[in-house]
Amino acid sequence: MKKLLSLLLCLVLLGSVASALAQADYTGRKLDVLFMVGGQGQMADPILDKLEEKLPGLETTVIYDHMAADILRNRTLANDMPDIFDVNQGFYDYLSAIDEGVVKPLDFLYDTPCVDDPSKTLKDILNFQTMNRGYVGGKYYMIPDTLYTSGLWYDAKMFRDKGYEVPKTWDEFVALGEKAKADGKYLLLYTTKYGGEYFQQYWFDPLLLSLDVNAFGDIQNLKENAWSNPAVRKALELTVDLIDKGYVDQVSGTLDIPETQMEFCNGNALFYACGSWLEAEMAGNWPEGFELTYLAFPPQKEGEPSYNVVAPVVSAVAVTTKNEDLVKEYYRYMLSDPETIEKIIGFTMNGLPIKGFSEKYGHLLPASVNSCWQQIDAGRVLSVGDSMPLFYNDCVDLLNDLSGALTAKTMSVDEYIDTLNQYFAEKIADEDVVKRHFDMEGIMEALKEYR
Amino acid sequence: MTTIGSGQNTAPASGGAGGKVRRSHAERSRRWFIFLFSVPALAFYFFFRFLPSIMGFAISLFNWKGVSLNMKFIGFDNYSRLFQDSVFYKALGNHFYIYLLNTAIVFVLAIALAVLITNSKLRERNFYRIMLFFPSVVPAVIVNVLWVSVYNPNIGMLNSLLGMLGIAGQNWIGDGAIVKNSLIFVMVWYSLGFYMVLFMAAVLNIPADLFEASRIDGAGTVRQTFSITIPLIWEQVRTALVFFIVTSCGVGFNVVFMLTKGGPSKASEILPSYMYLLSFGGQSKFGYAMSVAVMIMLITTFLALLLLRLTKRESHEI
Repeated sequence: MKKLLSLLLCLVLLGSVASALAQADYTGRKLDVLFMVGGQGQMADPILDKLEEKLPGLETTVIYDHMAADILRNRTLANDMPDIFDVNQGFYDYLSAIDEGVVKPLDFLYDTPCVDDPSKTLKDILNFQTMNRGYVGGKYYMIPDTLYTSGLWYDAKMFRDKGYEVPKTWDEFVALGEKAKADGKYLLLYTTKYGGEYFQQYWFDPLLLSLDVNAFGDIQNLKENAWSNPAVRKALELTVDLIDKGYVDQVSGTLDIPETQMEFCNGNALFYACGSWLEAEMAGNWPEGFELTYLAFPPQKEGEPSYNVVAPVVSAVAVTTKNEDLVKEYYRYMLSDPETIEKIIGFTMNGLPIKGFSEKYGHLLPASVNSCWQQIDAGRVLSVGDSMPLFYNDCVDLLNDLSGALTAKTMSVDEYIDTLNQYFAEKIADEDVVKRHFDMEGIMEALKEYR
Repeated sequence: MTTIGSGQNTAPASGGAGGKVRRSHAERSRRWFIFLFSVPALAFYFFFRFLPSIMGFAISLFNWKGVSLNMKFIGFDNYSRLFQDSVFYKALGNHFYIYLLNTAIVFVLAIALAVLITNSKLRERNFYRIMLFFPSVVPAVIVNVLWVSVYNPNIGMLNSLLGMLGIAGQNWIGDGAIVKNSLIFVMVWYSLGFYMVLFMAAVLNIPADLFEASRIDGAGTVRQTFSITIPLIWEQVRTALVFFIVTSCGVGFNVVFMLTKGGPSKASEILPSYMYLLSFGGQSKFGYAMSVAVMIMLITTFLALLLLRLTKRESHEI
């Protein structure tokens, strides 16, 4: 009996020592995260909670701040960068930070085994097509924490009630304009004033891509006179045609983003060109019975692919981090732990850069967002990232002004094209401007697969 | 007794040798006393005003993106580029238009209202004073949210009121032709009360018997205002003017940033908002932005000195 008790005691002692040793591994270790306050809420919380639970003794700190970009700049200068940072791309020049060696390439993450299936690594499950914004010099530097996708959104109930057919091609889309007009509604609504990239990315880009993928690539790659491409002209003329026919709700030129979205909530327009944050952002404003539904951008011909633009909110790893192992754990749980992902989606209501996202986690998304992801994952919609505002960030204001003027009919298509060609010419001539390369290969590969 | 005229030195004449020694000892103590008590303020001024200005100028000589410590010395290239930048000239023109008109309107109205309210026998004058001063104590963010709603072309209060009067509404902050005036209105509304109260205090400091005597001599309210009130509060007006010129950059930035972000088509871009756009607004041209900041500093200093010189006149003591 005594021997048995002694054995038990030894076992307990050994267990305690082993446990203490295991705990000691992370005692005194800290993971430091900086986040900008935004639509994705406090999405780092579930990941950090999980890390503290799984790595006893680990201390995590997270700052959520509207001025996160300023905090990051100051901390960079003080050589005190957080391990992981997610600040708005509109306020922080990620690409310059990559050029200047402040951001760590993500290669070190790739061999990390997944939580839900350890036979796979993060490299196996990452959807790199959604990460092209941070692809510099053959390496990925930025990882989307939230993926918003663009589309045309409509109220399925209104379509049923009014007997509208959901258009499958551009011609069917335009034909619907007359019916909408007869019912005192506009066919289309998009945001121009204060919209920044809205018009360009959520209306013009999918239309241009449906006409000529290469024309889109030329714009991204700052090609001289890229705006004179016939496809660009056609995309602008098709838009002006809709405006001239009275199908476009021009009030959008005087309203800011939430006001424009309210115009759509109020049922004044059939389609709104926007991103997949719409449902969550306008929560509480949807009229009873409103069935927000996603429409892939109508192709010029039936059977052609639809395109949409992914707008990622990204995080990056500081090159100064001394916590590579902890950073790996952070992304491991963010991308492959179902329990953590469910909580993250609870904050973001949007996608993550994981292959087959809709199949695994679509049920957690709002219906409108899920329908979009289902079509992306099924290969019916080809997702593209518009990098021009990131490459040449002063273009956002210009595009904003030009799209407003075009919609208000105070600017012609020729003037629009000339202004942007002139802007490109200045950028090309400016030696201080870094000429970025937009990688078209991913898009062309996806197109080949589609066909 | 009230003295009108230039100030006179009322210090007693020097005494004998013993008095001199006593005074120099007292003078030394006094100087030490002044020095000691000035040190914190001077240090604060040096570290938080002077040094940042010098550093700002130094940074303007570099090409710096603000994301790391990598800085490339380029001498005065940022300045030569600035003088070829069409947006800079547009912002400069808007800057002068908005600030000069804003200053003129605020000061004329503030003096007029201060005189009217202090001289008025209205029982509601405290009410007017509070109502006019109220905007000055409202946080800038709230002021701007309020005015975005007022100016909203579709559901805004202003267009609704005009509509009731049968007047067509305007796109107050979306139309490049009128946006600057819309912003000036907000800036005047925001600053007027503060300067009015400042001048009211100065007007109330003028002895009543001066007005009484002038009234007996047949002077009306207008004559009293121009011959007594304004000359006697002139020093306060000058000081307030310099203060206004220096601080209105911040007020202007708040209003422009919150209401229009410099748009539409740069129609309301001013130098501080352009500087912000170049640096913290995502363009990451911190060195270039600092050259705009240096220009703002030079323009503000020049304007303040010019106004001090233009408004210099014989001082009057009460």
